[in-house]
Amino acid sequence: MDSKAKNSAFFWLRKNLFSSWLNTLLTIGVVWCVAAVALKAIFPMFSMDWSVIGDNLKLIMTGSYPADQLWRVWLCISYISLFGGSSFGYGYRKLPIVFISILIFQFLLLFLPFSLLSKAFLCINIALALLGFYLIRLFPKSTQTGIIIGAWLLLLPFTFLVIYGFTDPSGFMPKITTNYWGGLLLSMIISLTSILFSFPIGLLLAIGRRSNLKLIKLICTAFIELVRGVPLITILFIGYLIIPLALPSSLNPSVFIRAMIGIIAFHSAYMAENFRGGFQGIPRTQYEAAMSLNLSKPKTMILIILPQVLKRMIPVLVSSFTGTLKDTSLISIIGLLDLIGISSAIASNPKYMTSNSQVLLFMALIYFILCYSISGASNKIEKALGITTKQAGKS
Amino acid sequence: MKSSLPDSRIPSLKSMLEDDRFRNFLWQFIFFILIVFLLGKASSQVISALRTRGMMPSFKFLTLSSGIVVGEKLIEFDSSSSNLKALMVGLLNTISISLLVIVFSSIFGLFVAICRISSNWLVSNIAKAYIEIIRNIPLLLLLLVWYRAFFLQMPGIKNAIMLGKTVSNEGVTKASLILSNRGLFLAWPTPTEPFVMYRFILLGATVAALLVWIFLRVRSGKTGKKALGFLWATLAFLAIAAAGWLSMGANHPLRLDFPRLGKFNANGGLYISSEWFSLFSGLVLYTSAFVAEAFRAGIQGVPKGQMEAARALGLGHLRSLRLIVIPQAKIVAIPPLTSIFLGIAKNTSLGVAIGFPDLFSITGTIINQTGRALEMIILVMAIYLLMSTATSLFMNWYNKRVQLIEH
Repeated sequence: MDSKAKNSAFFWLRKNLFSSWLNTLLTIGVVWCVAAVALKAIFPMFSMDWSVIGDNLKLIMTGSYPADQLWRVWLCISYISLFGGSSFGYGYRKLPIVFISILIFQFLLLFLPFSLLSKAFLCINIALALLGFYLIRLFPKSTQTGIIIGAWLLLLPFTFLVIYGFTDPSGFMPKITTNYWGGLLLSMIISLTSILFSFPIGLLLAIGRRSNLKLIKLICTAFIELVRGVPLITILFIGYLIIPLALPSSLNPSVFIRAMIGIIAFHSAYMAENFRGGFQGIPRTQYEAAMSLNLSKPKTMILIILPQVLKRMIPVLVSSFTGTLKDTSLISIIGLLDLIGISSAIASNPKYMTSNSQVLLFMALIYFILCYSISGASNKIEKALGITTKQAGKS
Repeated sequence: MKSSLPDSRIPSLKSMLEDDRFRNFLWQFIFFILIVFLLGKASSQVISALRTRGMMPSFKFLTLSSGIVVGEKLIEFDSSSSNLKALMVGLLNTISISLLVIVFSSIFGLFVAICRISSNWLVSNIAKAYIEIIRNIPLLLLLLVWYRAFFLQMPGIKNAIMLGKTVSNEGVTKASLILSNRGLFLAWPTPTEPFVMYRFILLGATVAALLVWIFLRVRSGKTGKKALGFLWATLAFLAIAAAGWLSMGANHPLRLDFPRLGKFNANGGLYISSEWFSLFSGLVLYTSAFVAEAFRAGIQGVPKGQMEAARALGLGHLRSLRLIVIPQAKIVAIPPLTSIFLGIAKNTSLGVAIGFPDLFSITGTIINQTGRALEMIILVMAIYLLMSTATSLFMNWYNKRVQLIEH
């Protein structure tokens, strides 16, 4: 090491950790605390018996989805890999570090004791992601945008088609009802569906709230405020207990659908509030300019206002996905086997009764990795689009 | 409809449709009919479904005896009390825990925010890691980790963790703190017989403190001198209370009640159940991360020049923070804090997952016992709405008071 680097490291330490005697004292105290916590709480974690995760990995990821149909889940992941790779290829010229680290992570997973099928699909996923990264450049720029947006919009229909299936039991994709869905798969599907539906409904509610028509304004405002004033769990209970009463008994929706309706209603109200923020960011001059061009109200909305609002809403949409993903954990209270529901199911197995902490910690890790990377992506998109949101406290 | 007279007083359908006001009315009318139709259809369906089960909607069941056993209650309650009283117990639990969480998470959140903007790299990054971890994990999971992976993993009562342990001659083990998987027992002052007397002394001390405070306020209003009213009032209160305590000699009005270790459980002292403490500490940890971000955004939102100007005027660092920066940061931080505080009462409903008898989990139990889902959900939503409205009214009033008034 040359002396300059050494010096700069020394100066960095002095500037950031030991700038005054108070700071030095603080640093030493904090280091001591961290060491104590690490010794008492973090290190014992390594000596815990983590075999419960390996034994139940399939359960945690997909619930009681039939084991011989797991390739369908992998197919959906391959779809995401391919178009995830293409999205990176669309945004970056060289392989970005995030992308490489995701690939390396997948590569490292190969060394864990997974089944042959999983390993094969992992290899395919890595290949597809790389393929997508380079393939997307063969198209002209405008087509690229279309492909990427289209692919992400089609993700949910594709997932439903593949996971739910469409043939009879003897066919090649037998129907698998939602009762068998569980674990991370269920959490992801519910969050994605809820975001996709609550976006347009929230937009309509927000427009309704800004409307000059008193009655529509009243009803939209009442719905938004009602939903925002009560906890999600009461809305889920309405879905769980009241919807079956309010619908003809011939319909009899499954718990999955009822939970879905509750979550969508809940997030629509919050999405409407986000949209309201987006609308308030549009200067009044935009409306006045549109009026002076003699555009009608619907035309002003569709041609002038909405495109600007939607652009502002893209990062909000991505970051509210983390909120949705976190809120989805409540469906375990009405008996669905999402990640948290699965953790209780594992805890009730006498064999794993003592390993409940490990399962919960592993789930916390899954949630953290997912939510952290999504909010990181949202920040990236925000910067790329050159939008500064109001709540940015970064000054 | 054809009109033979084109310019008659009766407007044609076409011209009516071109009229903005009529069109607006028509739209609203269609929308209204649609909503009424859907709601009517749904409610008639609900009523007919309930009728086939022989349960017409009514709130009479609230006065019936509940048969519920509740571990945590602030008012007298047993299983023969009414459902309404059970709901009251839940509501009081929700309100008390929410208020405590608001107070503690404000303090801890401010502390984390100060750490976050500290110039010490280590402190700032530990605060950042804390905020990021908490914000990216669902609250439900946090509560479950706290409850199942921490409190339920504590040793049993036989091997309980104890602080200040003493064993008396009769073999009774006492300690100032007993922590086991049953919960936390703390030494706590309990009133003894002379406390009846001492209450009057405390009352007198309060009155004296108030008088001191008012006197100082009035004097400072007259002379313009800065009054340390709060400080002097507290001192007066403490002085009278201490004098009263000493005058009572050996008959101490309050006695420290130490928890005693029994065979299967501890008793005495202050008992904090694992459920209560899990919910409370989980909510404080969770909320503080958001409070810290709100405070940080507020403090960093104040332009740097304000601090520099304050320093240039000769104010010290702390005084410039207190007099210049924080009053301005407050204005920025209050709207996000409002929504955070609004969320707390709603978040206590997750107590249902760890078995804490809050408003929602009592509601769930009553629904299970009586089958009155519709009535209970309507009732509980109304209560939550009332609480939210009250909180937001208060915060809006406070917000208006601190906002800058620009003329």
